[in-house]
Amino acid sequence: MAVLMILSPGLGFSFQIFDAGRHQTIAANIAAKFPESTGLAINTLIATGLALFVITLVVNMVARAIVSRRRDFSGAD
Amino acid sequence: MSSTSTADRAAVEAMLAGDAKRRERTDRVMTALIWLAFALAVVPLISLLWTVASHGSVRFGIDFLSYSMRNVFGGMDAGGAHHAITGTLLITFAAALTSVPIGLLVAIYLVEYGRNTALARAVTFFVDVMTGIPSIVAGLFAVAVFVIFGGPGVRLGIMGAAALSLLMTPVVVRSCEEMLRLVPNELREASYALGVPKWLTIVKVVLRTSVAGLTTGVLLAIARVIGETAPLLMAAGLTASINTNLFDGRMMTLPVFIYDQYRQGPVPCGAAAGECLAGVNIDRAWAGALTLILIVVILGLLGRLVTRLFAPKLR
Repeated sequence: MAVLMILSPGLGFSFQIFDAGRHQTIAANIAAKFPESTGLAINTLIATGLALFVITLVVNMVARAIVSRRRDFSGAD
Repeated sequence: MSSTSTADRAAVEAMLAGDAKRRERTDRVMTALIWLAFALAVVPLISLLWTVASHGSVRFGIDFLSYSMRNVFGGMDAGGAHHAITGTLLITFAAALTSVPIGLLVAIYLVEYGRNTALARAVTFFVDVMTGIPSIVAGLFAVAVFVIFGGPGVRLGIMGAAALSLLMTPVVVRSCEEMLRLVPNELREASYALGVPKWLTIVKVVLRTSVAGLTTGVLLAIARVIGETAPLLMAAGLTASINTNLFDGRMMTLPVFIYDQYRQGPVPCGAAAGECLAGVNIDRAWAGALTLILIVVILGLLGRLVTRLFAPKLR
């Protein structure tokens, strides 16, 4: 939501992170478009939400793998 | 023997005396560095509080707390956040009512009963996964579930509470689990030695000992979800009127109120600008942010009170 308030969104994608109006995040896109969507558009937004969830799941699993690999050497409990 | 020890001592003292200046200097430099780091960490916090307080106090007051936005439009010098405060309190309360019992019981299971069983490992894994759910996905989930019962376009306060409890449960589980692990095993063993059954030991000894930590954990979880905007915007919707029924109709909340006022931006007042305030929407957004911070602070103080009343007396 913070991104939605700050970023001026764009429709394409670009690697120039200092340019305005050329980027959008999944969360901000869903929040901006959801109130005016019906039918298939809602399904599209939920699909982008699924993509976001898969990304966080992969990051979480990688982090867990790293932590459990180092657990034997950790001094904690 | 005594002569060698005196000689050693003299040598050590000479060494220390030679280094004394350098050691003092290092000590002073390090102290200064640590204070500097502390100041750096506090600067954003103070700056944020000051900005919110100074901008928010423009419109904050009894009127702001007691009027809704019904029939307020343009640059009118009226309106407040009463509907949003009611909604935030009700939705957060409903979310806490759902997720605190579940979270606390899961934490008790993980610490007291399920030590490293397959089920406990699976639960820990899925709690970790739930911690990583983006808030917008929780909102989408609540909408997708309630659309089955209410048809497309349904917006209810309880949907917002469902989305928030989904975000809150893993936080409650993790913090309560850590707090229960801190209770020393000797206390449990002493209780068993007196013939107290396990469930009574948990209720009377483990929970009582860790009540301060548990309260802090629950309050942290509440503070985490009370400022969530995206799931509430999707699940509870927007309204200008007071709605105290979680199961009927749209419900305003403070973060959504702030976002909505900010989005409306400055008012184009035109020539006849007698009653028209150009910056009234932004001022309302700041006052809403101040209200939200005050609610969190008051909840924190209530938590301290609970801790003081229920924690075992140590002296």
